Amino acid sequence: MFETILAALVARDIRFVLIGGVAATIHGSARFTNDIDVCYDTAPDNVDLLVALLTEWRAYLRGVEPGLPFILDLRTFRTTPLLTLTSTVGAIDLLDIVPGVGDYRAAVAGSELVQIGATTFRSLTLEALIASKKAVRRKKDLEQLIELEAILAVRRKRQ
Amino acid sequence: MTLTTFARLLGTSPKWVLNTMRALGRTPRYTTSMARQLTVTRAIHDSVCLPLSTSFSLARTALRSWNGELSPVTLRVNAADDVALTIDVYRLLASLHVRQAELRESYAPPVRGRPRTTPVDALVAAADWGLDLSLVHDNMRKTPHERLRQLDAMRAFAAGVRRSPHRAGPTDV
Repeated sequence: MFETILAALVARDIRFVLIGGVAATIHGSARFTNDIDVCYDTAPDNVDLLVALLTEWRAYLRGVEPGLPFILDLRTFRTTPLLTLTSTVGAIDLLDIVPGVGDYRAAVAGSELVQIGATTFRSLTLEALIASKKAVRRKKDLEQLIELEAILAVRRKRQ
Repeated sequence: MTLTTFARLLGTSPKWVLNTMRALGRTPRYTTSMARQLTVTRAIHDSVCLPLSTSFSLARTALRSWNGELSPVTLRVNAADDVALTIDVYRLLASLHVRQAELRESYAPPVRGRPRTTPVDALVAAADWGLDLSLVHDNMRKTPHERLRQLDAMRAFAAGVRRSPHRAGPTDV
């Protein structure tokens, strides 16, 4: 599922940086996550590509009753810092700003290229992920922070 | 719903909620139906500068007249019927539901207290927390692709369990 989503985003030339739990998994986290978090470029051409892909995936709001008013378009993206969606390919969270890191440009600066099979995309570095978890300070983020800092310590010991 | 989450749902500050409730002479009730009415009230008040009480009453009328479709609602504003207000109720409620989804799925209040300042060995802290470090070491030996595939497999397994017609209940234990 996650591979499919990432491959589709790359195939459509959508500018994004992988963040959150799946990015943590790529760095070695063993925590389970059910959704993929992505920070996207808010430029209208990029959002249009995202809207087209999400419409194909029949994206709808996650956690609310089906059938409620929802419009997936550029205006919704422009007024919403965080979209929590469910779709035919799984749960997707879309953010325009990563807490503790910044907007898409800052996320790019705090990211590295990752190759999964034939797909190459940008994912937050471990240090940037730690900064974002520290900034949010929800209970689940602080729990993950302990693991991410341990992974960083293991990585540094190996170097 | 608390005042903070209610204000987040409206996309405004708690102070705006309290001031509005006071101006309307209402006891604060943080319900979804009140959020719907206040969302429309705020849009009317902010865009055409009508008093809050008038905006609140127009919002109630707009929500009652709205038939659930995409087309906007048109309301007569004055007694002479020569001024009308067109309200895109569908769009306003759609943005409310986006925030509602975010609140339910992602929002949690930040943990109180100061973050630790004294440096602690991350591996010691993780072990003290109860983290199984063998899982971390095991994952570090895998490639990013293998880690992602493992997560996908876990997600597929969890989805399979959720779909399963038979789930272990108290009598199965």
